[in-house]
Amino acid sequence: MRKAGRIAAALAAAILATGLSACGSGDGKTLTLYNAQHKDLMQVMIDAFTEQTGIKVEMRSGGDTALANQIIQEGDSSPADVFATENSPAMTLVDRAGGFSHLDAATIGQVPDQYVPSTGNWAGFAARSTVFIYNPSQVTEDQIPTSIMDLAKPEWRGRIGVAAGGADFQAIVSAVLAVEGEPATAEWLAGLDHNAKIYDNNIAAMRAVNTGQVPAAVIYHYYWYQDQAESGEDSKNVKLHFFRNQDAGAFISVSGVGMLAASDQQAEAQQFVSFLTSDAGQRVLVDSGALEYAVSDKVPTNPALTPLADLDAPTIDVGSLNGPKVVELMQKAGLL
Amino acid sequence: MAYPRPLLLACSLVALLAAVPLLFIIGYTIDVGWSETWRLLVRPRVGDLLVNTTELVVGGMLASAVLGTAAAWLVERTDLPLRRVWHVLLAAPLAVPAFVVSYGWVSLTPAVEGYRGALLIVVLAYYPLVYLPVGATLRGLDPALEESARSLGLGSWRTFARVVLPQLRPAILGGSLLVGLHLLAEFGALQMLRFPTFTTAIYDQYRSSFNGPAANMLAGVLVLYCGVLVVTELSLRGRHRYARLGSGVSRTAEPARLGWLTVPAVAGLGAVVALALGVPLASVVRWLLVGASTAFPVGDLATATATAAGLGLAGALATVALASPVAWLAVRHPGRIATLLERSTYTANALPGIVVALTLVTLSLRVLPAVYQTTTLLIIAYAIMFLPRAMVAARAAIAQAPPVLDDVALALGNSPMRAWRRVTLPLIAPGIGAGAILVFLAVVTELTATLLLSPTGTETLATQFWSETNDIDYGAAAPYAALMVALSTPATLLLTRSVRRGP
Amino acid sequence: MKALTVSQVTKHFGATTALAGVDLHVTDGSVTAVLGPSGCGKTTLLRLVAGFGDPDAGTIELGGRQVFGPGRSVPAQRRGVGYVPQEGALFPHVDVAANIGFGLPRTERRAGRRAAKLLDLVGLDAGLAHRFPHQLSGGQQQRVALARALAPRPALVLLDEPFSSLDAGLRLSTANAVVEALRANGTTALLVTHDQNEALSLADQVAVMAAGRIAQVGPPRDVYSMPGDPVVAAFVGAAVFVPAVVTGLTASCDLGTLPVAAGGAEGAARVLIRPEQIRLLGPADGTDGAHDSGRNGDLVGEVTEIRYFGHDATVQLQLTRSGLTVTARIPGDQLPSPGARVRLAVAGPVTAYSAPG
Repeated sequence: MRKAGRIAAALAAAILATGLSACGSGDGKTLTLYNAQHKDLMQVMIDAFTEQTGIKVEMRSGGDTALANQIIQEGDSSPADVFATENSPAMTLVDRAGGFSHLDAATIGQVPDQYVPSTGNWAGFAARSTVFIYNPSQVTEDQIPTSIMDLAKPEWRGRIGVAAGGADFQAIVSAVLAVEGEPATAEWLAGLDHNAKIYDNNIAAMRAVNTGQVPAAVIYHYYWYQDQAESGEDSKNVKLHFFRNQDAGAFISVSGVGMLAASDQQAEAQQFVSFLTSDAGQRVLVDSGALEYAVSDKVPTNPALTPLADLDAPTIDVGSLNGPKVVELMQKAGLL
Repeated sequence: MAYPRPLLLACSLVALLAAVPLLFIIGYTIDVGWSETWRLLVRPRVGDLLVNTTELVVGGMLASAVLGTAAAWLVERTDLPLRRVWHVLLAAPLAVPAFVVSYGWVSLTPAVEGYRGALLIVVLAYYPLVYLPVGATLRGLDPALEESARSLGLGSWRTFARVVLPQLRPAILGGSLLVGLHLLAEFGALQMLRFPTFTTAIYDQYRSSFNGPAANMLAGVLVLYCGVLVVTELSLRGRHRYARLGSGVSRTAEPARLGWLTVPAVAGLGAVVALALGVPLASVVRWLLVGASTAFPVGDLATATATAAGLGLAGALATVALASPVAWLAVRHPGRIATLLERSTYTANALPGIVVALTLVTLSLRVLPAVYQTTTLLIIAYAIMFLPRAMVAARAAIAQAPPVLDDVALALGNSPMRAWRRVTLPLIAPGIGAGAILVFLAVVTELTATLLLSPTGTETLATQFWSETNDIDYGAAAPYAALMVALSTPATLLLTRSVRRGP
Repeated sequence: MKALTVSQVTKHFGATTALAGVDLHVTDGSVTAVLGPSGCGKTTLLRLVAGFGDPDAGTIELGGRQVFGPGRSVPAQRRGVGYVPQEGALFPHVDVAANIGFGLPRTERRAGRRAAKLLDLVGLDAGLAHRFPHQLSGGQQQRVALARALAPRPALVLLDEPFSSLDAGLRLSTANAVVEALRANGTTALLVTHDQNEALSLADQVAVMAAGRIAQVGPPRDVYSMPGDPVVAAFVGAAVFVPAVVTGLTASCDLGTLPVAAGGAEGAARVLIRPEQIRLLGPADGTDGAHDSGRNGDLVGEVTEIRYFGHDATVQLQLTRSGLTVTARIPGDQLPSPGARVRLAVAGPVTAYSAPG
């Protein structure tokens, strides 16, 4: 009996502890951020924000689309105050569902126009470029495709890796859809379904290229740069190729942040969005070692990166990318 | 037989709770409509998943059955040296979660990706589910059966095939079914190995659309699949009556002499242990050493461990509390209603955590927003997912305490409460405790439901491990893997002990 | 003084009638056996007496105290009745001493003397006190179960088929030991069994139950030799029924003219003959098969089957004249050969019942 008593006491303590950690946001000065960006990067930015404003931020992590749909499903009872993504389609999804509050002019003014949707309900705070990576021992210079559309061709059968389930690749598909139109995209996806090896995420795809499991992959640039900056162990056999020429594969994806209409801490949420897009926030981003592009004109890009302007990306309205359509097309093609 | 009203009410509520995910999927399917359902189900991707899932489930069940049975026979019925040591070593992989085995291998060599690797790893992770019940049956099996067969002129192998094997059939089938159900719901291990099944595909759908129709349709297929497995097992088990195992066989069987076969037998078992236990643990240790030089976040580790243990305990307690009345009803008041209620607690068996979690997200938001993203809802999810484990244990435990003992205690002047405390409780406590341990083990390593339902800011060993592994930061993942194994080991040891003593 | 009085007790389970108005009196210090085939309601009766359920109607008194009656039901734990179920049902999680002490107050339990005394009473070695139930043989378990029931000094002990799970050799010795212990302790006992030998040999009083009623109660001899009806007659022992015509105190039938016990049927009837009443008188002389009677008017029959039990044997005979088949029980050392023709006679009075239909 006594043993059971002790177990019960320990149990009660444990439940209490987990319960308490769950109620940490009770004092009103803690924001809840639904975060789809890389946790490490966002933590650095949050720390800087908290230092500046005294407002704490709790993160709930997940993927772009999952969190966006979750916010929509939560509706008015959403615990989230702020939403930040890796790619813009998820922001558009929430925006179209009426989930965001309008940002103030000062905040929007901090961000170049091409990174703010016409609704003015969210703002870009980071950008990343699509890149073709390859293992030079398996792909020769002359075999490098000129367009991302070439990857659907038969010669790439079993030779191209993509993280089809992730929002990053789905954002790239949405760019293809925006640039090439639906029929071409559907055809391209069907070809890709034959050709592609599916990986869980970009890191896994890059690692596979590095070890020679798959000759090439389509990912975002910073995975390679990050690995190079650290040890290079997962990228030493990997080379980059930017498609440029306003090809759909030269797509620059925009990470967005917005404050939620359901939040009862609008002022603090606005402060957070404002901070992320401010010079100070952008500097934290550049200094973080995440190697994503800052969106502000006033903060110089990390010298290791190719300047955004040199990438010759296609012009795509940041608020127009259609996530659900992409998912539908990918399901039809069999990639999902 | 009249059912006690309050008990019946309690059991109905438990059964309803357990059936919530299934009812939700059915309701959702009806809502989506026939043509959309058809569009989502009849497409090449679903065909691929069906093939993959079937290959893995069938292969995994067969291989686990062969490996588990062979190992159990060697340990229980031969003159294998150091049999007790082998027993512990062969049961030990239960303490290593499948996604840690997967991590151990995949961080060593990408060659394990794909079907063969996936099959290898799931068998290494799950064969103890066959090994343990078969071993227990062999221990309880009257050696007179084998002796009779020998006296009828059968050799060792034919005795095994014609006499022992049929007796082991329920244990082998039951264990294999368990393996199959685990494989249907397995996510982490397979996702790491890039082997898509229905469950990993549901996760991809979740990533692409949260709780969308495609995820729910795939979940529906999974439920049907699970039904097929259960029905197949039932029909294979058939209506044969198996000899009731004596309550205490005083004689132990004369062990078969392996002779020159000892060397290959020891080598074989050694290989199994090395692959299932040695490789993953060595890999974890190796990455621990690598990771220790870069980052060793003591605070995070401690918090995640405490949270995992706390959730494990709370989940175990809640699940056992829900399972016990239903088990009681099923054992003490058998009948059609009791059977129906008992069966319905098994419905969530093959549903992956992600499906249960998505259902609860949607329902709690609609019905009871106050519990959304609270520990309470998470514990409810655990209870739904792991009720079958607690049920099986609780049923067996309650069967160990026949009602006649209550009568005797009453006649000896004890009030019903006192009789329950002095007789029933001590008799069923070990079995119920074993059920609680099973649930604890499952909760500590649960991933997807925890990711979705836990309060913001709550991280467990499993979620931290997963997030580090996702970034291919194997060094940073290692401490979490090691702690999960450490947290599971005492519970597993207790479990192998209680299975050993057995009824 | 009546240790137990059951009056007009009825009990239904759904549409099934388990007890249809049972009356039973058990005298202090006696052993009563309730004998009946399975499903006759005997176990139900015992459980109602113990308090494991309530009758639909009727009253139950224990030692003059009403424990069940209109508006009154004393719960089992306050009836002070000992209970020995089938297969003993020892508590598997505690040792023999703790099993025996289970119903004792804590202080007495601690002392442990009572356990030793009871082990002695049921004829078990005191060394068994610290064994666990699974380390005991079936007979030992049953004796411990009795010791456990006796420990709190109940006025009445109920035994539910306590020996049925034991094998033949153990059954007899255990049953004797148990009843000896009960008598030595002066405890009243109610024993439920379907075994006639057990009931007749162990009990002071046998109550035969059939279809939820007590068909007959009495000392074993009366129940055996003067069964109240053919059903009881057939249940308490082997029976040969022969059609007869009864006139006063004689019955004439294929077995000749036989004396009839008083109070039976008149006119067309059938009489009950126990196999041991049929005596074999020796081989029939001559080959005069046409005559049923031997020289002295004796009956003659042909031996068709012999079953040998050592201490005795049963012989099936086909009567030469009537073709009737009867069974005789004879001492084991006087066996005829199969096919032999023997003379036979019936000893003692027979019981007559009115003819069926």
